[in-house]
Amino acid sequence: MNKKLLRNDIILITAVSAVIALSAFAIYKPDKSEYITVTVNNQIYRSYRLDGNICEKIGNTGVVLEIRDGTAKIIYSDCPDKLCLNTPGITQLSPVGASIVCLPNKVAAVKANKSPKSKEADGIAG
Amino acid sequence: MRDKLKKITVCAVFSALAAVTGILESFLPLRFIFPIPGVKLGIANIFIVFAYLFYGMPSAFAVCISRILIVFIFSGSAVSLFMSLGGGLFSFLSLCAMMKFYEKYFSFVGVSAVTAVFHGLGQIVCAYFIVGSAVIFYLPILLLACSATGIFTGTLMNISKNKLAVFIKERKF
Repeated sequence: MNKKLLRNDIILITAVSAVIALSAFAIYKPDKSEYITVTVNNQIYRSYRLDGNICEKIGNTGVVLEIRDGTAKIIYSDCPDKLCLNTPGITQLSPVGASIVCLPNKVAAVKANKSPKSKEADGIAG
Repeated sequence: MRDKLKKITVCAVFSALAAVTGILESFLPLRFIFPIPGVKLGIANIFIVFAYLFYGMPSAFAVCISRILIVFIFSGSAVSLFMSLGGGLFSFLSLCAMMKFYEKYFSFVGVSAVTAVFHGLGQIVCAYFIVGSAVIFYLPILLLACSATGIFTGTLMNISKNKLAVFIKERKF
């Protein structure tokens, strides 16, 4: 293969990766937040504490969220692709914005700094 | 007439191959390498790029769209159709731009890496419309995975291009 093309390829890919890496720094901000906010259809459904112990169905979707031992996971979904079941769980160490998404059910569980005031919920009761 | 028939046939074969490889590669457990759901190698993209190279932009667009429709008919839901249309259109637009530089500045590796990144970008944009800002979290790692798979498919294309060109241009059907 032509050397010049190879060199240009490497420059191009390095530049693209650099831009992506910069965007990663802008998006990933690690901290010790402990809330999981669940949205359904892009509306806030409820938020949970990560140190709680819950296992419940989200609204009238076919998704079951479990929080146990400081890890939030989707443990059941009626969607065809089951990608959400294979997504790694959210823990206390995950950065803010870490999420588990089930596209067919339009459910997203996102790690957040704090619980939205109006929808305050405690994981113990949940 | 004969050339036109051959072009239609080759594009149809490309569409079928793209659809089948798209379904087959979804069985590869790539999620053990990249810790995010839904990462695929993107071998289907090879056939779209070759259609562009041998027969021009309209044929490549036809292969791209018919591949998405075939996959939708056999295995899809409305959500996955929306997602693959978004990824397909984004990557096709970037392919049109990158093919202007092909062989002048970049080989298939560069072309394919950029189109793969745009494919990921298109899918994130679509997912953003469905579930909202939660998916932004996936963006950097998905795009990095995309550029890696793009380099892989680009290398495949560099290797196979000349052999396929002989087959397409000279072989009598």
